[in-house]
Amino acid sequence: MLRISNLILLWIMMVAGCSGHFLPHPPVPLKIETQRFVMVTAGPQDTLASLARTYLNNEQKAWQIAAYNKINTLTPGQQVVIPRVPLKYGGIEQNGFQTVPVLLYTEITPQPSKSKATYAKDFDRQLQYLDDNGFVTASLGEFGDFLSLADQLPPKTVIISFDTTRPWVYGIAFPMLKLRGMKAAIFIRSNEVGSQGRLSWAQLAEMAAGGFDIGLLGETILPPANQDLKQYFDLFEKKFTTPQKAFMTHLKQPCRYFAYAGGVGDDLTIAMLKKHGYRMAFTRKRGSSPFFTDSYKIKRSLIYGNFDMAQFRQNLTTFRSAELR
Amino acid sequence: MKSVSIYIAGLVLTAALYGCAATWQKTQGVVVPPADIYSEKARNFEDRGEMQLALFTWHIVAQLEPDNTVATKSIRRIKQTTAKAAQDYFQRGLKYYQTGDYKKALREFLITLRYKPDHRQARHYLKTRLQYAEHATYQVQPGDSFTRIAAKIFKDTGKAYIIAYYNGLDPKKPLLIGQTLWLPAIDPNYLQPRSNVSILLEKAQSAYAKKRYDETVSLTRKIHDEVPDHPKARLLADAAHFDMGMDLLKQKAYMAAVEQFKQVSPNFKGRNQAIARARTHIKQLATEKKLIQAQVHLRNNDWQRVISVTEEILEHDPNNAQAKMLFSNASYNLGKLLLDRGAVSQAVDLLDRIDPSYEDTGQMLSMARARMKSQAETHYRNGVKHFINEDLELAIKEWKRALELNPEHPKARQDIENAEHLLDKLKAFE
Repeated sequence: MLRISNLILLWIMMVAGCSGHFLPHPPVPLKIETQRFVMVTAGPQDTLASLARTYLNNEQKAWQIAAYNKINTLTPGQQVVIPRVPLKYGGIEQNGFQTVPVLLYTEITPQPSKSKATYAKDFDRQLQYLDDNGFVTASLGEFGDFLSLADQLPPKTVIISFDTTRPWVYGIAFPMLKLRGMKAAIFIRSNEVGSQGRLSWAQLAEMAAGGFDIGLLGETILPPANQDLKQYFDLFEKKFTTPQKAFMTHLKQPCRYFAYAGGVGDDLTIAMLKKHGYRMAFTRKRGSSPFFTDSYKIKRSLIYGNFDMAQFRQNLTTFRSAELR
Repeated sequence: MKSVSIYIAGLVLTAALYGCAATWQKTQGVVVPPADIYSEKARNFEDRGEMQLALFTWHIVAQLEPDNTVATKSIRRIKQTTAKAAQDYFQRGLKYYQTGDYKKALREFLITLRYKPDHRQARHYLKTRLQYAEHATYQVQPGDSFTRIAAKIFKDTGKAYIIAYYNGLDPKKPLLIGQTLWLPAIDPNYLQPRSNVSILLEKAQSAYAKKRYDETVSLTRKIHDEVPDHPKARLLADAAHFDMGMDLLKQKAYMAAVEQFKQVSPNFKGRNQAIARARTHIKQLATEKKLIQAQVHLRNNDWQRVISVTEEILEHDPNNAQAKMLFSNASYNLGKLLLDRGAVSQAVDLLDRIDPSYEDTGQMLSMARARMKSQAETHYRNGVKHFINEDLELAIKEWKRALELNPEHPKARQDIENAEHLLDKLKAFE
């Protein structure tokens, strides 16, 4: 025999169980934060870039959020996972691996040129192509982290570089890249800086502050026939250490990146680079580099002024197919 | 009645459960997505072989539902299977690597990292060993040294330093037998094949330090043949020649010293002064020899030779007292002899060149000059006689002789002019 009091008790329990559905309750944004990931509910102001900036300290890592959640944009109220650890080191996939093209421009001219120099408008068209096709420029530091498997890079990463202290890099290339929020690297000979017709340290410092990496462009050092080997070594070594001091003095930053004068490096130079803390060195051998490339033999593709868009595209390989199942 | 009670109880329980298990969990107002969504996602990743993504997603599930045993088991299982798969692929890669099939090794190592990105050995092989897979190595043999290896491999002992440097070893310390050395591949533009210049230079330096100057010079000549104007060799050769010159200078071999100094580069410190010093000594020596000759001539009363030898000395060294003395002595004696022989004007010319205070030179000169005046007067008078006899030519000859003996003769000059004038008129008249 069920008593009235028991029925009332059961009724209260039922109401209590359903209260979540019947009582008005404003949703509170979700936020779970661990070392591996952050799970959040997107607010009205949030974008993938803003979340990347907030939780990954780098808005350029927005692609990682987009990739894991398989989304291109955020909508308010959407719950997303923000990976805090690289999920694909070295860009290794089952069907291949990521490669990073490094482009090298020898000169950019304000007027069309018959030489190998690239006309500024063509350069702009090439930058536009990169923008339109989802390419992202990376700094040499980010590239170094990719090579050492410390971090990932966006799948379509490209690096732009120049080997010069000529003013065009500051007057033409720098503003064009800056306008698009693109990064680049300049390799210079420190002993040329400040001389007539060359960049000043102040201009280089401005470019460094603007997101440009500054590296050292090597010199061909042939040992004089009448010099003994030890003397040659000392002279050779100074070609690596003296610019480092100049970088610290004028740019307040260490010199970690190197480009070979003749476009190729030899073991002796590489040993010297390693000894003096250079992190990477760039050749002029055409092609893209995977993470397992030798950090002191990174390929760079020369982009000539007479390249059409198809030829330009040929130098943008960001993935190499391979059966890796 | 009992069935009604059970029905009501079931209804209430269902309602209660429905209320508690809403589609989304609610914890203090926060809406948490169901773990099922991520479980499903994790399984999908697993199905596609994306094990790292699956593992990551199972961690999300485990975070959302700490008691979810499926998630914890899946995490454990994936970790175990990926670790095993990674190890299997790595071992396979290793075998390929050891048999020299680097392309296949690369593939296996990449798959290893796909399963286990932190696989240290696979990383090492990919980043280092494969890069240097075809790099030449050398295993140290008993009796080897850097120099010996350099001679063996590069045919150049001078590259010993490079091998040591490249392997991060001290070139002065001995090598361990069995040790593997990397042999650097060096761009020929960077290091030209070297001759034995360094060895020669070291030998030359050693010879110079031991004051073996001839050997030093000989070695530096060999260097010069290899490398013209090698600065260190040039400096050594200069120093050796200079030191040899200085030694010869001490031995009073002045000419030989100058010859050594002449082989020293003109800008070598002390070279020009040393040459000047040697030349001074040479001159002194020559003077000494001449003085001895002059003294010999003096003893033989060969005055004329004494005069000519001492004149040579005094031409270069006008203050040489000994030469002056010898010259005066000879001139005096010869002058005296000439006076005795009546060659008065010659005697006067000679005595005029010496100090009048020497012996009785002054007195002899006065006497000689008086004799010359007297002789001049005699000639003058003879001239007058010829003039009176209208032999004008003879008259002129005598008067000229008078003038020679006494250039200040009061009449001779005028008489010569008059006689010559008359002679011209007579010739014109005839």
